[in-house]
This record gives sequence, C-alpha cells and structure tokens, in this order.
Amino acid sequence: MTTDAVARARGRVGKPAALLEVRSLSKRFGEVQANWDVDLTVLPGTVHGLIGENGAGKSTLLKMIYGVYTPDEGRMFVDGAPVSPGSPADARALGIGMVFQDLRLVPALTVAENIALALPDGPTLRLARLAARIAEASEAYGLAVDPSAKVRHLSIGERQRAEILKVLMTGARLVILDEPTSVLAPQEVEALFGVVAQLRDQGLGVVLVTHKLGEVRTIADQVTVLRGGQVILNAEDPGNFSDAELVEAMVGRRVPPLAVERVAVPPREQAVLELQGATALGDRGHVALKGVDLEVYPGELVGVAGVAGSGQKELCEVALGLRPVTSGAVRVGESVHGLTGAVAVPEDPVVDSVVPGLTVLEHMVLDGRAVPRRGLGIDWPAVGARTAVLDERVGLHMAPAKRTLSSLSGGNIQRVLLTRELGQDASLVVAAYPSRGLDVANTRRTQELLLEHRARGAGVLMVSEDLDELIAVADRIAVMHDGHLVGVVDTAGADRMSIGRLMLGGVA
Amino acid sequence: MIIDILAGAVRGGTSIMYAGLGETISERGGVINLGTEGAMLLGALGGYAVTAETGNPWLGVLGGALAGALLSLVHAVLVVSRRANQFASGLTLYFLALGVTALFGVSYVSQQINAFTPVPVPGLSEIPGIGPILFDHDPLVYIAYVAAPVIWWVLFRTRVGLLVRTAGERTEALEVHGYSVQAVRYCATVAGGALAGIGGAHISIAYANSWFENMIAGRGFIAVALVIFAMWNPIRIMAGAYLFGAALSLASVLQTSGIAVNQFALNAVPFVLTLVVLAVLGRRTMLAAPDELLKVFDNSRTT
Ligand SMILES: Nc1ncnc2c1ncn2[C@@H]1O[C@H](COP(=O)(O)OP(=O)(O)OP(=O)(O)O)[C@@H](O)[C@H]1O
Ligand SMILES: [Mg+2]
Repeated sequence: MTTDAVARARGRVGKPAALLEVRSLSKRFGEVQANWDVDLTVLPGTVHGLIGENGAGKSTLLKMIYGVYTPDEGRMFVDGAPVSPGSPADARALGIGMVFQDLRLVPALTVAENIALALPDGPTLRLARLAARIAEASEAYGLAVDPSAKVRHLSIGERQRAEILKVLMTGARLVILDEPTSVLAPQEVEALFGVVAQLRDQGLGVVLVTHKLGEVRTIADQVTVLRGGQVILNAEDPGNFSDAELVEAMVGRRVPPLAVERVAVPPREQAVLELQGATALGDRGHVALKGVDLEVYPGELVGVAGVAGSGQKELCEVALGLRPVTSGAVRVGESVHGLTGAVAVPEDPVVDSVVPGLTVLEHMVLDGRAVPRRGLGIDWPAVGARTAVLDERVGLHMAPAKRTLSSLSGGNIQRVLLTRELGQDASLVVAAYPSRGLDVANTRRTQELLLEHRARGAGVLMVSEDLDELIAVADRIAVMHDGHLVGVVDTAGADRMSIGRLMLGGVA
Repeated sequence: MIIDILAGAVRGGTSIMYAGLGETISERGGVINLGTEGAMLLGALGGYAVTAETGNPWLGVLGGALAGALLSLVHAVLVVSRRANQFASGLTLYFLALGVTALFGVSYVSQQINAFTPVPVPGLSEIPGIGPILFDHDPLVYIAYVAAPVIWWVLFRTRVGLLVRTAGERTEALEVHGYSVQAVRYCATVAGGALAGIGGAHISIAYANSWFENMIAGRGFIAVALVIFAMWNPIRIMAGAYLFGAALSLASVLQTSGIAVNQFALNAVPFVLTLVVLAVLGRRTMLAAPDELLKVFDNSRTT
C-alpha cells in the first residue's frame, strides 16, 4: 500500500493521522455523570492542555484512555484503528503511557529496578545492561536520572523524571501527565516543560492536565476545557482566548481578580506563634526540622515556600503541637483580638484527616467542636442545617452531604476539609497546600478565606508550592531547604526566581 | 569445647535459617506469617512420617516442605484472599498445627527412622578447626549454605524477586504493570511455608532424629524475630541463625562437658538473646521494613 492509500483507508487525506481520537466517551459513577459525550483528538507532535474545575472529569477521561476504567459508551481510535484498552497493560501495548499525579514508583527500589518492573525482559534483571539502556534513553530525551539511586532519596522533580523516562522506555508515543506541576518548584517546572517540548519535537503526543493557565500558555499547542463532564472548548488554540475567557469556560461564570488590601504591617504585639530553634524528627527518624526560628504575628499571613519534603510538614505539625520538638521551643499565644484556638489543613488530607467510608456530613462533626445532641446521639438534622449555613458562608460548595469521601475527587475532598477548618474562627491558622488540586475559582475563594482570617486578626501560616500564590497573598515568605529556614523574604518586591534559588539550596 | 559449640551452632542454626529465609520471602512480599512455628511443626512431623514410611529421608524433606507449604497456603487464603488479620491468622494456625501434630504424631513417638547422618566433605573436613565446624554435617546443612545466597540472588537479581519486593513495598506499582498482587503474595507465602517445613524436617530427621510433641520449641518464633534483626536480608539471616544456633547448642555442650547449669535457665538463653537484640536495635530495624508489610492488601483501592 502506498502512503496515500494508507491515508485514504483512514479517511483523512491531507491531515496527519491523529495519534489518539476519542469519540463520544461517557462514564457514570452511580449518580455522577463524570464524562458525557466527550471528544478528544491528540495529534502527533503536539502538547494538548486539558483543563477544568475539580470534578470536571479530567482524571476520569484519562483513566478511560489508559484502560483503568471502561467507558459506558463511546469509541477510541489509535492511529485511526479502533481500540478498547481493558487494562493499563493494553494501553501501554498501544503506545499510551500515563504519569499519575501520585506517581507509581516504589520508593524502596532503585530507579533501574522500577524501570525493570515496566520492561518485561527476561527472568533475570541484568542491571548493568539496563543501566546502560537507561543512560542512553536519558540522553535521548534529556531526562537526567541516576539509575542506581533509590527512588526514596530523589526529589519530587527527579522522581517525576524517572517516571516519565519509564513511560517512554516502554515505547509510549502518547504521554499523559496528570497535574505534574502542582508539586514542583518553578525551576523544576521549567525543566519539565523543556522535556515536554523535546518530546513534542520528536513527534510524540503529550496530554497535560493543569490548573494553571500560565502553564497552558507556555507549553500547550491546543487546549480542551471540560466542565461538568462535558467538553466546553475542543482543541482550541489557547492564543485565541484571554485568561478571563478560559476561566469562564471552566467555571461557567466570571471570576473577579483577587482583592488583597495590603494593610500596613500591623504593630508587632505578642506573636501568635513563636518558634525558637525548633528541631524535630521526621517519620523515618531523621532530623527533618533543623533549628527553625520563626514568628507569626496577629493580622499577618506568613507563607512557607520550599520543595516538597524540605520540612514543611514537620514545621506545621510542630506549630500545632502534633509533633514534639527534640530541642528548641514552641510558643502559641493564648488569645488575640478575642480569638482562640488553632485550625489546620494538613499536608496530606487523605492520610491525616479523611475517613474514606464516612460521608461529608459525618466529617463535619469530626473536628472536636461541640456537636448538637439529641439524647445520647448526634442530632443529624441539626448538623445538616449547621453545615448548610457553613457551606453557604464559606462558599466552597462542598459535594452533597450524603456522599462518602472515598467517592470524591482530590479537589472535592480538599473542599470539604477547607470548609470545615476555615469556616471557624481561630487565632492561629495553619494551612498546608490549601489550594492543592483546586480549580481556579476555589483557589481564589480559599485565598480569600485565609485573607479574611488575617483581617480578623488571626496569624496565618500557609505552606504552598505555588510561588505566585504566596507572592499574591503572603506578607512575608519563609523559605525552607533541607529542614533549615534559609531565609525570610518580604513579599513586597520579592522576586520569584531568587526565591526559587533559595528553595533549591542556593543563595538568593 | 569452642569447636563443639561452633559446630553445634551451625547444626542447630540450620532449621532457624530455613524458617528465617522462608519468612523473609513471605514478608518481602507483604505477608507476616506468625504460623511459621506451626509450619515447622507440620514439617517436622511430615518429614518424620514420610521418612518412617518410605525409609528415604530425602522424601522426608519433600514431605516436610509440602506440609509447611500447606499450612501457609491456608494462611494465604485467609490473609490474601479473605483479607483477614495477619497476626490472628498466623497465631491461630500455629495452635492448630500444635494440636494436629500432637494428635497424629502419637504413633511416631519413639519409632526408629533412617535419619540423615553426617557426611564429612572429603578433604575440607580434615582442616583443623574449620573442618569439624563447617564440613562434618548432614546434607541439609550444606544445602543451607547455598540456599541463603541463592535466595538473596533470586530476591534482588531476578524479575520474580522484583515482583515479590514490589508486592511488599507498593501494590499500586505492581497493579499498574499488569501483575496480580494476590498471585505474587500467594507464591511468596507458600514458598516461605515450604522452607519453614524443611527447617522443621531438619529438626526431626537430621538433628534430633526423633519425633515428640512441640519439638520445635519456639524456633519458629525466633525465626520470625530474626527476620526483623536481619532487616529482611537473607545473608544476615544466615549469620543471625548461627548466632541463635550457638545459644541453643550451649546447653547441650555444657551438659556433656559436665558443667552444672540449670537446664531451664539454658533453655531460656535464645529467648533472652532475642529480647536483648530487640531492645538494642529498637525501631532502627523497622526503618528497613517493606512499606506494605503491616497493611493487608486492600483490593478496593483502585484509584
Ligand atoms: N471511582 C469513583 N467512584 C465514584 N465517583 C467518582 C469516581 N471517580 C471519580 N468520581 C466522580 O466523578 C467526577 C469526576 O472526577 P474526576 O476525578 O475525573 O475529576 P477531575 O477533573 O480529575 O478533578 P480534580 O481536578 O479534582 O482532580 C467527580 O464528581 C468525582 O467525584
Ligand atoms: Mg484529577
């Protein structure tokens, strides 16, 4: 057959054959229509941005493409031929590779061993030969990793590179990246996009999920917007739309810009939180927090920047009294401006705050506050009414009260916890990655909630990996590296690249 | 006397080593089997009975391995398929094995068998010191010398070993590559039980050359503790097993040389040693533990 005949057989003379074509895919989970009549076309040599609110159905769509879920309806074509991957292994055989947001690497194994897991190749591991192949592929794709390093000792960015390399070495021609940038420092995002651009130049197709419009503009050739499981914009050129238009497509309404009134630095009275040389051990017994000095004053929002795992988690837990210090001191002000107590959003809500089998409503009484009672039991109708008022006031629009948390998407779980914690008054607010996994509108609302706490006179400590977010809302930014507090930067006049250098252990 | 104690350490440590190697495989795959003591008891009786009936101790070893594998298969059904509590299942199976072997072993008590006898390695056994310590033993001792490095190689240098380790570290990573976590754990647990069974058979048909009730006397539990000290590493299991073997052989050597020490106190030595090692190492060893070890695999986690 000539090339022409092949093209004609595929019925698309003149156009490059789509790497992946999805037609009218639908998927229902119980009462939730997660995807409805979704079309998606990914061309070779392009980066396809996929954006949408939390629960819009992005992950569901990708998991159907990767064979994790089976679609209820619809068809899929790879290189024009109909396919129906029933498992990730099927999808990989078709040249589809996926990098999950939480990755699928084994921390205790080396990079080479992790890659060996994906490459069925003889009964023995022949690690030396494999290391040579890895080095060759690293070179070809510009993904530097040390094959003999244990994944546990790699930074998040390095882990991501290892996972992408693994996916490419299994022969993927379509690489799906589900929210890869939400855990990276700015420099690492740049490096990742360098790799993505190189893959595109080599003719691969890349699907990239993100909540950040700036990233779509930087790297995506086409953008598809999902809302409520349906396609709102299909493979459009992002250059043809303004930010406001894209946000409106995602959210279904206009979102006004964040109004931060920069109150003059309030008089430094008694600190709400005071750490002096705080040193603490991490979960694996290593020193994770090394002599940190930090004060948070009433009416102040202190941001904490750092690459994941630099001691932020331990800092928050020490501030809240959840983790003992091995040396140094922690003092929490009793009350300021009539406010008392602390509220917190943990770094990993699914592990630290969520009971998967309980409903949204049941989570609303798990915060230790007094609960309306009827006899010895809980007065659930009263809790329901209280929760409705709270949800209205907080404005993050939680999932229906009867849904169990195990059935919610990551962003929706986060919204339940944020509503519960940020909906009550406190003198100290500790929020770790509050907007992680949230869409544009909810990120905005969460930032407003934190600013409202600050305006009421609370001291707010906020950890985030999104420097733009910290620069937008924080009064001061404390930068952490390897357990040390390497610098406290005044946000006025802060420069993201120099903060990024501090985060990576350099000098500003 | 030192040579006697060291030779006794090798002989007495061999059964603990087999059981420890088996438990290492099982725990590397994410399944703790407290029934190891039970698998050794079944292996001891199975090995003894088959040797008695056939007159061939090699068939006895096979019988012991099968008996141990069978008990661990029940454990695997309970904890892998039914997702029962691993500790409850293991302990219950130990007590079951204790009862079953006491019941069916009665007819073999004081029966004579064609047991394994020491086979000095020509040449090597002549070396002063080393010879009697290492090269004047029954064949199962020699096989154990090879078994530890071979199992290390399988675990760390082959694909099967990689799958077992992944099952014990992160089940999602196994699933996403199209492997069945359940199948891998079944294989690891049953293989571990077979090795514990061989360890038990070593006691009855090579070490004590007799069968009596509860003859394993806690060696299986020592093996489970040993896996932790050895940080799930077969080579360290080898060293640790001989250390406990020395503690065990101390009793008999002191006795034969006429030194009067309280017998009960001597029997307690290996267990006191276990407690001391646990106290000294503390949580340090647990840092090397496979991540999934204490979780029972939950098949409902698909996302
Ligand atoms: N396994 C499941 N069982 C029940 N409902 C589910 C399941 N997976 C997803 N859903 C629901 O389907 C909808 C789409 O979820 P999905 O995870 O695809 O959203 P998303 O766009 O990836 O959101 P996020 O940005 O928060 O990751 C949500 O309402 C979610 O609660
Ligand atoms: Mg998602």
